[in-house]
Amino acid sequence: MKYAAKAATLLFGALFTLSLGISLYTILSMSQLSLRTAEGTGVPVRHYGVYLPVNSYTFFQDVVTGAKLAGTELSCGLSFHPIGDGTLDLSMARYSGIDGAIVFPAIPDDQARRLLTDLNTSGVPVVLIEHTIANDSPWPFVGTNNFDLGKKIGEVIAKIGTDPLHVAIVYSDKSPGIYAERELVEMGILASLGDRLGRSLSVRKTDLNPLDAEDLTSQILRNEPSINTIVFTDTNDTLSATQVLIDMNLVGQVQIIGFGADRPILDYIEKGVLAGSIAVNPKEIGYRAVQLLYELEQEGISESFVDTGVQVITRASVQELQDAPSQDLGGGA
Amino acid sequence: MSAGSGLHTLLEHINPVHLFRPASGERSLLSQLFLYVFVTLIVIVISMSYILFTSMQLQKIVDEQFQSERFYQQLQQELQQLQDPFRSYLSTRSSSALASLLIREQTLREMTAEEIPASMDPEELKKREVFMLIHSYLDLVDEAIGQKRSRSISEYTRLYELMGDMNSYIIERIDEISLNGFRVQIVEYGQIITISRQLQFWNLMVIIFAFLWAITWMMFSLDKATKPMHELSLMARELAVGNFEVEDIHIDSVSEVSSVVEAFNQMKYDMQQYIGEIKHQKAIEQDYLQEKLRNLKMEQLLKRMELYTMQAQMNPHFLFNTLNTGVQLAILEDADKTAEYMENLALFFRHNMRERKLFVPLMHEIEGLKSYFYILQIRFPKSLQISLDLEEGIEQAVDLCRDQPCMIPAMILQPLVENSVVHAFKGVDHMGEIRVRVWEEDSHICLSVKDNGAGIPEQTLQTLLQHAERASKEGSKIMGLENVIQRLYFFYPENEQVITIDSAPGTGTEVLITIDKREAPCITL
Repeated sequence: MKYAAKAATLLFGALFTLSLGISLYTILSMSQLSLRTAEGTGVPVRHYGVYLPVNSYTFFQDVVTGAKLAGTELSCGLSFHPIGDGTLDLSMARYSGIDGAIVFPAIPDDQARRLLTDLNTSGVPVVLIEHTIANDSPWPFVGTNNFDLGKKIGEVIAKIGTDPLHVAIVYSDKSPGIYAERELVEMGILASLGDRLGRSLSVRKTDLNPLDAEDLTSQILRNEPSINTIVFTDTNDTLSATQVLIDMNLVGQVQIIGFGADRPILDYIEKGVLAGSIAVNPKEIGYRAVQLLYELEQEGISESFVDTGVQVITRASVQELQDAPSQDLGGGA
Repeated sequence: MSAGSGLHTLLEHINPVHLFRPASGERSLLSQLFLYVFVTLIVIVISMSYILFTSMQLQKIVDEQFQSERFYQQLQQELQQLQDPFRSYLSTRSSSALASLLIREQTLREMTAEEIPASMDPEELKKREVFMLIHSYLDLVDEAIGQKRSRSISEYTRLYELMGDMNSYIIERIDEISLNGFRVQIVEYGQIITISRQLQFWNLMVIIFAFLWAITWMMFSLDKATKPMHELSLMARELAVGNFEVEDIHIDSVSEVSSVVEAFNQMKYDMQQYIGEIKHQKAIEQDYLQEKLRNLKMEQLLKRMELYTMQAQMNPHFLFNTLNTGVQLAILEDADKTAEYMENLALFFRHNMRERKLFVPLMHEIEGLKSYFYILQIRFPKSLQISLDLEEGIEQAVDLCRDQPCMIPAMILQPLVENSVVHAFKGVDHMGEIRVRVWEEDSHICLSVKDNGAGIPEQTLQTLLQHAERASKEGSKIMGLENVIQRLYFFYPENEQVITIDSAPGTGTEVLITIDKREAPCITL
């Protein structure tokens, strides 16, 4: 009796202690969860606002990725805001306590200029990405030179096309940066092709509908059989158009020059469906934009233009890109 | 030590005053029971308190989860409600509107007084922006009020327009933050619910095990306290049946129980001693009574022995006088041989009647035997051959126990020889021989009477060598050999071999008396 009672006392005492310990641990872990929710993490020093168009395209996602990378490295907290479509974020930027703004000005130039001027007046430094407002804008710019972009496109057309070259170029609302400087792009193309163009460039445009390019491509191929080269300035448009080309069994007869370096595009180039592609580096753009803004805010002065470059992808170079899948190449603008 | 003192010790130990006077270093029963109950209740109370604490903590955590949502909701309401007095003031310049506006402005400033540093957490940045927007908005309110006062219509109109947009924007941002926060919290709330279920389970375990622990601990403690009582009852039962050899109880318990146990052990010891003393006294009384009885019996025996001795003697005066007359007659008639015979006969009788002592010197007994031998030789000159063989120096034999000449019971040799003469040679054709020998062997005096007669049957021998049953023999005559045997048994009760008879039909009989010189006879009258 004595030993049974003693053993039971010890056993239940141990179980009581164990239960109490686990219970305490549980309540502490719950408190930690609550604490984590309340406290957040990190103590950065700067707060920058990034204003990008509201869409989910790869280009902007990569820009965000690059910007976050730079933000982490430079201890800068980034808040991302929409721009365009009547949003007030950029209007309210100067009241929001940010230390700097990175803006993709996908709004009318005069409006953009006014808001950016207000920001400057309020002492908020601004860096523009992939989109210039005017040649004499005082705001530093990070992105590609669209004239160079046009020249690269022209070089690819010159390499693969057969005379007379009947070229159609399709802009897109999904790549407003290129569309905004379409004159520079076309000038670049003309500079590369010169007299080889059989007629002037045929200019088209798609909207934000991702399937819009299919219809447009179909119309071009049906209604304008003379066009033997089509240039796209957006990755989604490129993929949609390529599918139409395959469906209409016109691969090889009509050359498509795409935009971006996504895996399907590289596959199409390798198979010869696409003649080539033009790629910019959105991650680099985002990264360099934060870096430039930080420099501008800290030192009061920075480079006025950072060219992140344009890359031409052909069948000869695609293998190299496929072997390096982690390379920071993005989609279209 | 008496039984009374043992009981006194017990009573002293269980005295109520003593009962509640704890020994040094021991807890009293009262304090022990209080401790048991107190600790048990404390465990239960602590467990319950802990459960209450965890429940409150759980509520607090859940409350914290939605605290920010409530805050943002309140913030939104304040912002929305600020618009009306602001518009009212700008349009009417009402002082009540201004007061209301300033109150709400103050409320908002207090609500957003917290300085939120820049953070890597996007949600924190959004919150920071909202706070900064509200601060700016409130600054614009102040500016608009100033413009109104200075009647700058275009300015406060512009500000009003801007602030309308700003108010909507801030409210939208708060909605966004609240929605995002709610989404995050929904996920975390699920985790919290899961953890809280685990917590409730373990809390239930805590209560169950605390209860079981308290119960078992109390049982263990009470068992510890009551076990000595159980052992005491067992010991009492043993004592009740007279077993005082049970081991002492040694238990580390509360002071009262320890005192009772100690007193009980002492009582057992005292009773054991007391009963031992009573037994000892009873044994002494028993011995005394036995000794007394023995003495009475001895007196009876002594009287009987005297009677035996008397029976073994003749009427001395008559015989002695008669024989003396015979001796004188033989001398007168010149019958020398007759005279010699008569003289020996007279010596023999004189020897027998000289003293009525139970013990005589050895040589005295031998002298008497010699006279008897002469008479026998005259009586049986041709049919009986008798001899006396004395070891040289036997006459100097002394009793080692008294350092005196050796004494032997009177009249032990002559009856033996007479017994042989009377009984041994009945129906025997050959010459009868009787040989008496006396010698010393170690510390013993040995007296042997041996004949070559018919022998004694075994059954008769057994009967002779039995100790006499006094009652049956009372008043009857015991003669000859049996008389000698019984007297020797009486005088030497410790020596069973004082007389032995070696006899077989046709081979004769030897009666051997062995007297230890170191052994004093039981009586020396």
